[in-house]
Formats: sequence, C-alpha cells, structure tokens
Amino acid sequence: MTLDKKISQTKYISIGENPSSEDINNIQNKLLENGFAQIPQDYIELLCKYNGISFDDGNIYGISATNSSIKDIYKQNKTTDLSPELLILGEDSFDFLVYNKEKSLYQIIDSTDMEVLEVYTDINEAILYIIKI
Amino acid sequence: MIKKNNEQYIKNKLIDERNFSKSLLCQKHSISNCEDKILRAKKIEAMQSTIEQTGMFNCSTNRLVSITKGEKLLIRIDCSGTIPKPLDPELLSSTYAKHKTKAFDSLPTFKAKHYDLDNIPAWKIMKLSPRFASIEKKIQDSFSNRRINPEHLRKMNECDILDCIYTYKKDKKPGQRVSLFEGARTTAVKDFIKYYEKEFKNILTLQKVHPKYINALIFAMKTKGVTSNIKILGKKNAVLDITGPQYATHHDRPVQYKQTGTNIFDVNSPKNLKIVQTDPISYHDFIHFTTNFKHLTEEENKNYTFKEKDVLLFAGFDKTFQINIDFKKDPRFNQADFRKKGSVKKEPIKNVSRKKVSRKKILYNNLTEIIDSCKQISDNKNTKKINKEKATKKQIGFMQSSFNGGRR
Repeated sequence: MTLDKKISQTKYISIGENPSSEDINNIQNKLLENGFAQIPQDYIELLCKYNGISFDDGNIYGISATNSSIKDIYKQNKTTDLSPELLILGEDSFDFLVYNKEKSLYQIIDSTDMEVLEVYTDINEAILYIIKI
Repeated sequence: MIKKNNEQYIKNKLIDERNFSKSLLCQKHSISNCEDKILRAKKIEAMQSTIEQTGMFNCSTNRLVSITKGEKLLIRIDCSGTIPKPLDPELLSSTYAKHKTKAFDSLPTFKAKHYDLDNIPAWKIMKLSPRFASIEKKIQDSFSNRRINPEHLRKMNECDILDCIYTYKKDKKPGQRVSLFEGARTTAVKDFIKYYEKEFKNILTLQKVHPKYINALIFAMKTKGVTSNIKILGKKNAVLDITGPQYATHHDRPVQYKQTGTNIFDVNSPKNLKIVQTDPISYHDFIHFTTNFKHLTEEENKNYTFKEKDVLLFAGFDKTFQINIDFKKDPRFNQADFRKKGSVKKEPIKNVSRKKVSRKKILYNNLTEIIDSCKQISDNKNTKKINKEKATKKQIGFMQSSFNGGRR
C-alpha cells in the first residue's frame, strides 16, 4: 500500500499546508547559511504534497507550517545539535529520521546514542518507519 | 465567592505554568546557540538547576547498561506492536540466513507443535514481555509455514524470529508495516483513560478546553489509544477550528539502557510509561532537554526521572495538573512495589481487625514493660557510673603525663 493511500485512510493524522516555492527557497538558504545539509530533492517533492506529517508519536517535519502539530525543519535542526552532514527530517519517541548528505541516503538513528538502526534509499519507506500507519 | 477564588487560583496557576515554561524554552534555545564552551556549560548547569528546583525530578547521569541493536528492536516492537520492515540481513543468524537461501519446495515440513520455543535462547528474553508471550502460537505457526528445521532452533536469534513472523504475516496481509499485537503504548493510554477518565476530564475542564475537544480526545484515547491530532468534525464532515492539548507517552526510565537485574521490557511497563503534555506547552521537551545536545560531558548528560514514581499524567509543574496512581481502583499497580523505594507516601491502613486481649494480659504486659524500663534506667545509671570512673582515671593519667612533659 502506498504512503498516499495509507495517509488518506488514517483518522488521527495532521498534514501541513502546502508551502510556496519561496518558502522552500528561503529554508534552503537558511540551512545553507547556518552550516546544515540542504533538503534533498525527493524530500522537497514530498513537502509539496505533505508539508509535515504528525501521527501519534511520529512527526515528519515541515516548513513554515501553520499547524501547531507540525514541527519546523529549520527550528528542529537549530535546537538539536547533530553532525553537519546530518539533516533531521523527523522523529518518533525513540529515533530520528535523518538525511545523510555524505552518503546520500536516509537513516533512522537512535535519538540518544545516535546509533544507526536502519538505512533507506526511498523517502516514502523511511517515513513509514516514523509514521506508524 | 469560593468558586470565584478557585477560578482565579487556577487562572494564576496556568499563567505561572506558561511563564515558567517560556523561560525554560528561552534557556534551551540559548544553550543551542552558544558557541563558547565554558559559557555553554554554565548555561546547561543553570537550566538543570531550574528543572531540579521544581522538585519534581530525580537527576542522574547515565550509568546504566547499554543494550544491543537486536534488543533495541525488540523494545520498539513491544512498544508499537508492529514490525516496521523486513529485518536487516546482517542481524540474522548464519543458520537462518542459510535456510532462507534454500529452495523452499525441497524443504521438509513440520507441524507447529514440533517447535519448542524454549529451545531458542532469545525466546527466553522475548517471552518476558507479556505481548510477545501472547503470540507464541503464531510464532510456532510461522516457523511451520517457513519450514524451519526444529533442530535449528538453538542457533536462532531474536531477529530470526521477527523476520520469520514478518514474512509469514506479510504473505497474508500485504503492506509494509506488520502488526503483531496491541503495543505497550496503546494499552497504557487505553488503560489510563479507563481508570482515570473523571480526573483527566477535570484537568481539561480546569484548563478551559472546549467540551467537544474533551469528548473527542477521550473517545480517541479509549478506542485507538491516540492522544494527539484530534479533529472535531462539523456538518458535512468539515473540520472545525477547535483545538486543545496534545500528549505523548514518555518513558520515565530511558529506553536506550537497561538497569542491571531487570528485563529489557521493563521500560514499556505501565509503571514506566507516563502521559506527558506536548502542546501547547511541551513538558516532554523539558524532561528530555539534555538528550539532543552534542558533545555533552558525562556530568552534563543527565536523565530526569519523576521523583514520584506513581505519576501517570503530567500536564504541568503544579500538582493540580497531574494525576497519580489510585491504588484502590487501578489493578495494574501494586502499592507495595512503590513503597519499597519510598516513592509513594504510605497510606494509613484502615479496618485492621484487632484481636481481643484480656484485661489481665494488658495489665501484665504493662507491668513487664514498666519493670523492663526500670531495669534499663538502673543499667544506664551503672554504665554512666563506670564511664565516669573511667573518665576521671583517664584525666588523672593525662594530667600526670603532661606534668611529666610526655605526649600521648
């Protein structure tokens, strides 16, 4: 079952409103200026459809979302200190979903000891690890 | 008049909560933005001190035993009740990995009853979780379905078991995430609302939450074990602009480490799972505030655990916004377990039946008590006398030696 179908069938889920291309450019510049990895292209495509997802303990970050359930990608990376090659894209109560710029892939890392637990090449599959639907 | 005062009291409490939380948030942001190492350490210390001063938490550095990747996976599955994806081949045992490469149709078949799971060392750990223990039969079925040789059980690990049941279930129901049982988190939320609906409703009412939101939230908790993303639907299923607080299930003792002498699933026990408000004020973030800062020294990397181990709901630093275990109505907990560590105040024991004792016996007991105490007094006097004599002898000895110019 695809991510779209699962989201459409889930009741207690929040999705952020679509961002403008200006919002996306602004956030990319902000990340670059502050020494963070930039958002990968496939995640940007996803943001245009789902600007952040929140379900139960899982949260996929969005950009400039008005919905209080959706956490902001820039703010979260700013307050959470990780290595510069890692960009945090989401979290659940155990782990972070990060984009590893050096390896060009998505990783699930333990949010306390930073051990890599899972590796994904497909962003949709990685999201379904965090959003348990 | 009393009602008005009460309302003002609650209003003040809510303002206090908001201000205190804002100041904590500012402190957190200021730590993140601080480049200077010494200043940063001081800021971390200051925030730790602010949190400790609330008197709500015990603070300790991580001195627990770390756990393996396989154990981490088990804890996550036990909590969510689902397996996220096919297992990483690197985590599988060589025996099971070899089995997977064999031509399936050429393998001999075995009945489910031929699989004694106790022969798998990892199962002895897995079955400590009541949830994994409940699917023993399903695991046996999956082994039979995958034509595992029962003689290979001794060489299998926990990831082999999970992979086998994942593959077996996936065959039946397509979809990436496979559901095994109701996870510990969902059960904890459903049980909480089952026993504390009235108290929870009371807190939400004090916080001036819209009644429609209260009802919808309680319904979501009861049916799905969900505590966030509640939507209120109006006419023609249009989402109404009614919002309210959201909550997360917090592991009081950190999930990444185990305490010596405990099993790994203790972190998912109802005793360790607390429902903590995340919106509009995220108390959850404060409890975890040191978790995400990098390059923390051992002293800085602290865990905050609830001082009162019987807290179930935390929606504010003030007691008004907390719910503690009611041992009289919640059968999940045994008060004696909490008393051992002195985390819960001992309640007075009521209705204790007293044996009838005769008057003579009472008089006799009283008399013997008096005689005993008299003896003790005279004994004390005697020992005091002896000690006095000893002391004077010592003093004389000291005076003599000092007179002679000697030193002790």
